Amino acid sequence: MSVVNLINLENVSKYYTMGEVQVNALSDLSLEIDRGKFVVLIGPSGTGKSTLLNIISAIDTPSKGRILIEGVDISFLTRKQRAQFRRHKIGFIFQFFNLLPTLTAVENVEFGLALVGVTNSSGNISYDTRDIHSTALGWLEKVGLTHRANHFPSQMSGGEQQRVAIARALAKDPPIIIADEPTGNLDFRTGIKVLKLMKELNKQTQKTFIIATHNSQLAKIADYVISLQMGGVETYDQIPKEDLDNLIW
Amino acid sequence: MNFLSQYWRKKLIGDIKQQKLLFSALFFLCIFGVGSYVTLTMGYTNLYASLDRIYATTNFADVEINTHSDIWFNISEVESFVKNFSKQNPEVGTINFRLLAASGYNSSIETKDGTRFQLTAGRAIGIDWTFSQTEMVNGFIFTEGMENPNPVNNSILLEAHYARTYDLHVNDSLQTKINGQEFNLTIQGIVYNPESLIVIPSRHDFLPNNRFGNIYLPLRALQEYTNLTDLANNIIIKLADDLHDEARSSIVSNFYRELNLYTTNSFAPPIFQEYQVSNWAINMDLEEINKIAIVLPILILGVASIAIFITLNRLVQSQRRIIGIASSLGYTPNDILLHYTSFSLILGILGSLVGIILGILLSGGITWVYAYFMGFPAIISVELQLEVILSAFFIGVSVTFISGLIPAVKANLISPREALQGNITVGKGRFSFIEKLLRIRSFRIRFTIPLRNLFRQRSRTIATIFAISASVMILVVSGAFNDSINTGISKQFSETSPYHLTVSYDGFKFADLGLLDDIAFIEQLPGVESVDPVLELPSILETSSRKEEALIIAWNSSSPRAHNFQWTSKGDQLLPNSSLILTSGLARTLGSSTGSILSYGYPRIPYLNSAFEIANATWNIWFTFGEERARNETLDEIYSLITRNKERLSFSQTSEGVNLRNADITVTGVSEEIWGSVAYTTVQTLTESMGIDIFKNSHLDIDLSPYSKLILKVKNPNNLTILENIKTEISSLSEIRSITFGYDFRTSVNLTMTAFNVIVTIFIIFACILAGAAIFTTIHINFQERARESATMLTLGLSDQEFLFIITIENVFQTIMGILGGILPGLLLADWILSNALRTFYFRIIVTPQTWIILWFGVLLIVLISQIPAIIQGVKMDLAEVTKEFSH
Ligand SMILES: Nc1ncnc2c1ncn2[C@@H]1O[C@H](COP(=O)(O)OP(=O)(O)OP(=O)(O)O)[C@@H](O)[C@H]1O
Ligand SMILES: [Mg+2]
Repeated sequence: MSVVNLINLENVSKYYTMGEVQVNALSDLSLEIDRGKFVVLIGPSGTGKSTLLNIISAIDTPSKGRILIEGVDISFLTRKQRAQFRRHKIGFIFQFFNLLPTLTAVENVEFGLALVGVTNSSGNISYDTRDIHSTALGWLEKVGLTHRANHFPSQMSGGEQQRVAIARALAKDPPIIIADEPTGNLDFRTGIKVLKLMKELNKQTQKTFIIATHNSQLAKIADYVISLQMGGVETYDQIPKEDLDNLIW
Repeated sequence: MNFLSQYWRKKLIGDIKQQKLLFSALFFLCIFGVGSYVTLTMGYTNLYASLDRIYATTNFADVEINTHSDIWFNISEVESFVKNFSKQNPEVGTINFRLLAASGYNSSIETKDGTRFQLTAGRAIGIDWTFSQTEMVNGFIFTEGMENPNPVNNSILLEAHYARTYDLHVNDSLQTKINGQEFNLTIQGIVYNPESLIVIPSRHDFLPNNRFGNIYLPLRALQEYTNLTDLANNIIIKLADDLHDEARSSIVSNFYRELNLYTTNSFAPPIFQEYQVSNWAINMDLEEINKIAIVLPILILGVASIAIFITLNRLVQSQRRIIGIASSLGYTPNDILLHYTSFSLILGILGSLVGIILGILLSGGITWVYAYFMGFPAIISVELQLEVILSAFFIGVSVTFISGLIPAVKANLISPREALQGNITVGKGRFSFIEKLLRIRSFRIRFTIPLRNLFRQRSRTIATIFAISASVMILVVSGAFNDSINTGISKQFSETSPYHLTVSYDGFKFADLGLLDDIAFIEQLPGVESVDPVLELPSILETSSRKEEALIIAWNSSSPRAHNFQWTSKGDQLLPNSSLILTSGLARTLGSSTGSILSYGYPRIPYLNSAFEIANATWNIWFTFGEERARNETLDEIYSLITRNKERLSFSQTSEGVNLRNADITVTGVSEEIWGSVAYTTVQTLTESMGIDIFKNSHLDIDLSPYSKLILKVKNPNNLTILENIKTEISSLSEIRSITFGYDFRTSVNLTMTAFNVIVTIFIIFACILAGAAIFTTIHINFQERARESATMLTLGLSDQEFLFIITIENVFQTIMGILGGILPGLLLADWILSNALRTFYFRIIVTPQTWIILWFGVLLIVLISQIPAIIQGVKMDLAEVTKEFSH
């Protein structure tokens, strides 16, 4: 393992100016996140959780400070470089699933794979549609949706859609999975299932999951908690204290 | 409640502001549709109105009656008949007697090769100038010399088109040939005349020809020049105003019947104003404008209505939640309906108003453009036609209103529960028809997405394709017009009849009475390659069910050197006796083809009987003095008979003026040429049916075959000096009326196409704008609806180029479908307009490869440009924001 942290934030600030008013979404935040961690980002609404995720995933750039991913500064990347970065380094899971409505479950996964290619049996990167298809099917199996492979998003439940989204995020093998309120649009039971799946996949794949939520209960299942508060940030390692099944909110 | 309605009013304005670009495009389409309707419809009626004003100020004759070609009447005799008739029929307004005679001019023109002289043809019209301007039928509009309108000795009024072409002005002199004599006439005025607003020598010389010079001179002077003292051959009648059609035709037919009783059938059937050749041609043009005035606004408003529908539908969908909140707060369905229809009402009302105002302004422009290119007097009448304005407003508002109503009603039908739920789907994902058909399982995703998008909202895709098709139709029509006419004309002059010079005689020139000598003379001129004599005869061709006027062009051999037939079909033997070759336009109107048998009417040759008598009289000479002397004396006698009055052997300007007999004739071929009413045969066939060949077979062996033109080819057509020399030499021959260079003729043909080209250009611009606006609207909306998925794709790391590719593929596909869909209707529409509006021409619909390339690339380019604003919006999108939006 490399000595370099996976994610390093150094004095990151983000301001939004709206007319005369300046909003400090993040101020002077410094953080380190290791590989393979299941990170939960909690905090009340408006404390900058989404902003932080946007900056880590290079959707947005910080107003001040540096952000290093695998030791590389991504604060000053061009639009094109940021797209490349997201393509290879980040898997996204959205609150509203954001599956592409015209693609079937398996095709949605293929979409993610087609961006980076798949490693085939001989160890080369392949963009062959058959390779991509079989890999995508493999991922659907992992999230338990083989029977839904040829269904369109409109034909699937929210939980199923989110599982497809998880498969899409993980399939392309990025080191970081970003999920902003992944259960926000799901009922409790389904939410738990989805979280379980993510937790499981985190163990299996050793990818870093960063999940933003304002449900502080979720902190109990995290390896590492980042708690954004109005005053500042508080972080703590945490061996999961609670099994997901016992979680209630 | 009050608060919310205020909120909604603000929202209405807010929505329009937010979608500035989109609403501008819709607004523009409304203006465009209504504007084109008003412009063209009012332009059309304004043209009619200004035409009516010209006709009213000049007392345009309601009807014209000509004597048969070789007959004149004594004015005082017919005058007394007319006085009598008028007394009993006060509806007969004014009657003028005129003398028409063929004339030729020698005029100079500035060309790029310096000043050149041209021998041109025309018509001298003798008028009784004792009439006051109000009494004169077919009077004048002066553009020059109006202070002194009555020509005195040796002076004339010159028709304005000719004056303009040859840059002639008052006090210039015009070298004029009438009846074989030359006169130097002084121009005393330049005038327009209702008979020649478009200068067309006759129905068979259909090409508008600014080189045909009409001159007006005192009746007495012309009678003197032509040795026709006290005689005339043309009667023009202005009837009382406000006569209805039946009364008009019954009074004219009474007049004609009694006149012919009185003058022992000297007169050809009357020609009503509708058939007067210039008026007839103008009306064909106006008909064309009228057709376009219907088709174009329908296409534009159709596209506008689709665009409005799509836009409002999308607006309603995106505001479902607001609608839900409103109705759960107790808003009545009417309020909601009103809110959403008000978008289309605002668009409709504003668009129609602006469109009407622009239309009114531009409609005057149409009159001006048309008048300018056709060389009309500048009487522009712009009338505010209330019915057009009202109907434009009604059409504009109702089309937009109805297009907006459906989405508004839909909005109303959304239940609050459903609406508040929000999450709407923009067309569900489904496998595309193509995938199902081809059983393709693994397309590359970047093709799958655009393909599925096309099938996602099929009605919108179809609407977009339709909008593109509508524009493509206009483009194809314009392109096909342009190409068919240009290719047709250029093929006609460079391949079919590649002549370099034509020589027209004053009347007929008979083979043994000088024609053969002329040919021998011309053939030995340096540079001359070939000389073909032809006879051009107006005639009537008839099948069992159809009857068409046609110009028969007779060659002296079955394989003329200056003409290459463009066969679409032909028999084994080309022109055996009693056979005819049709041009394809004529074949189409007659419904005939190779092998058909037609009946054709041919003219009675004047003084044939007298010629027979002369031939008989010389029989004795033959006995006494031998053949040669008999032959020479007969020729002398016939020659003097003919030259006693040259004019007697000219045909009058219409085929009605030709006294016809009928014979059967077989079609042995069809040749594709631009003339819509020309047929070819041999002089032998014609002379045989006329009975002239008798002379050839008689004891004297005289060839009296009549000819009217010589058609020359030269060895080096680019050498202008040689051409000019040939012309000068030929002009020294007797009885020459005009000499025309092939390329001069072509230049005037091209000039007359200028007006047409202007229209085509305007059309092309229209079509491009239309395509742009329509495509812009749908692309823009598609884009807005799919903002969330686009943002998702970009967030997942799709590069801008790949994103562009996906959008472009979809639009390119729609464009290709649109183009394909527009081609056939466009070609059919072009054919319909071309064959209906230009009946005297035949143009096979041709679209050149260049035009196809320009069309495809042009439309694709427009589409690519139209997607730019949407793409910029997409690229500028706040990914974080859009991917998290609750519903796009
Ligand atoms: N595009 C923007 N323009 C202006 N201000 C913004 C923008 N995005 C976020 N903010 C502000 O930045 C602050 C942090 O927002 P952020 O969305 O990161 O909060 P959050 O913790 O994700 O809240 P929530 O739990 O509600 O999602 C808020 O005060 C918000 O109003
Ligand atoms: Mg947030």
